[in-house]
Amino acid sequence: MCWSRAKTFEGSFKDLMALAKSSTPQGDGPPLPGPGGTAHLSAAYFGIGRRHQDGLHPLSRARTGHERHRGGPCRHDVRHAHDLAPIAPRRPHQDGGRRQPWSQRRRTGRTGRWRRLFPGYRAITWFGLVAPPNTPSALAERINRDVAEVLRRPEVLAKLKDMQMEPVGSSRAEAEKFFAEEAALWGKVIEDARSRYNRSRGDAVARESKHA
Amino acid sequence: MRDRRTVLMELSALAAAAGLGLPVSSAHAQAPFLSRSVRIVVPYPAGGGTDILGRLIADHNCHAQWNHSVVVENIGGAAGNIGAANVARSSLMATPLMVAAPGPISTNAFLYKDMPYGPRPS
Repeated sequence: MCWSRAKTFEGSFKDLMALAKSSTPQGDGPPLPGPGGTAHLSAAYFGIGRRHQDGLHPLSRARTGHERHRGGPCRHDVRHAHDLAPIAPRRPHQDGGRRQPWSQRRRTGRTGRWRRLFPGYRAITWFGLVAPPNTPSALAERINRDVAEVLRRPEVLAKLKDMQMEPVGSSRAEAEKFFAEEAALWGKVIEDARSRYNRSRGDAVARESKHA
Repeated sequence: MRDRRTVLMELSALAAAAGLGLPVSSAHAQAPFLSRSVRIVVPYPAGGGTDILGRLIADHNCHAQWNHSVVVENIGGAAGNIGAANVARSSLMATPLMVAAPGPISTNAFLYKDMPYGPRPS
């Protein structure tokens, strides 16, 4: 899910993307809480960074909100009409009508067009439970079952929903498979972002030596 | 050569925004705990999603269901790696669990030169 300002933008998600691509970056770009974090990587994968060539470039340490807000109480935010902030639990902002969500899923967001515009794009903030490798398998199985049972209770469901989380309650094998898929996906994104960053840095060095 | 510990990616995936309607395992092993205490490591500072989930498990599972004493420890830093390494090396006596998130499990291995543990699957 990503977020834009509400009210300042009324068009479709496609329009928003066109605006994001064509407009001049203002300020520092959307603040993100930490370099290499989920939001940063989702943005890198999404290509939001491309319009901030000097700024929100994947894995760059240049002038971006995420650098400035590093370690502070910054949450993801969007300041300008064309800013997009990826995945953020911003329920109060949504309830207050100040930000609007653009979701990968029809039921949690305003549009289902995302899937058609960006087939295959997947950026999930997920949580799981893990234990050390020498945990007895039977015990792990029991904890898995008991925690999954709790996740199905109505009061817990309500609480999770309020935090915009959806319980999964998968088996250990399924969780392990999911973790492996995530590692494969983000490994590719990070390698791609790193090579693009190194390339742009190489260009900058070449330009400087030309001027010298 | 660094001895790479392994955190086994086990147990249940808790909550995600994905369309993964996965069934819950129906195995019914009533495996005994090694002690009557649980240690839940949250590899981030208090107040975030992982913290809330850790405390939710502490209340509903550890206290109410298992009647165990439980400590929720926020061990933040290095994008979750410090808490994850702590759990990987933890004694099993106070059942160690960690609320996992993408960082320590699936992305940090590609971002950090040295990982103090080896998330599995790699």
